[in-house]
Amino acid sequence: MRRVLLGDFGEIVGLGLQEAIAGRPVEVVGSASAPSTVVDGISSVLPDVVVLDLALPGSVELAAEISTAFPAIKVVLCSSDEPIMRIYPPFHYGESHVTELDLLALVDSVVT
Amino acid sequence: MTNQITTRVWVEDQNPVLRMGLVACVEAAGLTIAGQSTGVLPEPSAVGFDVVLFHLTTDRLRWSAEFGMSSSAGLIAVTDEANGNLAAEALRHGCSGVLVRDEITAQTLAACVGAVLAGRASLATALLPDLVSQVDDRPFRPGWQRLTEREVDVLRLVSEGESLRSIAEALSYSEKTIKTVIHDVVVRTGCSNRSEAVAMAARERLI
Repeated sequence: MRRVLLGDFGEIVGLGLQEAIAGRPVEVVGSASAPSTVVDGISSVLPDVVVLDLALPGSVELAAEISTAFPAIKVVLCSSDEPIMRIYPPFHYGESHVTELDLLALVDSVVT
Repeated sequence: MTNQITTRVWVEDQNPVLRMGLVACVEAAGLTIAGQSTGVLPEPSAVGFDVVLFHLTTDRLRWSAEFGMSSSAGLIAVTDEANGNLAAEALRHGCSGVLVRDEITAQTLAACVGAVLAGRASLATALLPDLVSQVDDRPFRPGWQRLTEREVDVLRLVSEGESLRSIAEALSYSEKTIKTVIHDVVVRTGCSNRSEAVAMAARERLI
């Protein structure tokens, strides 16, 4: 079971994300309520994937920080504003790429 | 009386994650999902639902107005932020309800749908401060609705700085008549003097 840590999202987006990954072989191991607690959360639950809100200021910097400090973790950022997502693949040490937000692609990026 | 269990909602949002979240919220509110779409809005002639819950941006106001006129389904707009202007535009363009995305819960959604189906408008609480601040808070002066054409002509010339004599000449009345007309307007509208009457008439866009 892949372990997923969800960052701070608005209620609707949070619900949407949980619906999207429901029934998939993933386990939501925590939801961090503020960017500063995300890093603490990681150390204690050791997720495989961290999902953050791209629309929150500082989220990209946080993602890069996580990607460098915890290289085995994939970080996925999706936006509640524009339909795009940014992915930091594992072992790419802060490198990321942007793609269109497609629900299947989002779920895939979290599940695999 | 509407049976909430059979209220059918169509959900649309260009962002698939938001769409799924709204769908989850609709179901949590005990309503039925008639269908959902991402970036495609229903035709005004479409049937099979009682309410359309959609993401509102200014480029969609036209669709909203057309849909509101042709369809019997209630329109509820979801806005990204608490923007009073956009909400007012939504209401002017066929929407019965406006919700702010980050404030939506199953309860507020259920309440909004209930109100819309009962024929009432429903606005998210977050929109109220913005909308209320735009309300005209000048005192209501009943006399202003009933200015005669003659009174309008006279006040306009007064506002242009004309003397009583030149106004009388321009309108072919006596000076005494002009004075009387002005006096009547001042008294009837509850103003303290001629200048105030002219200023109020200008603000009411009557002259």
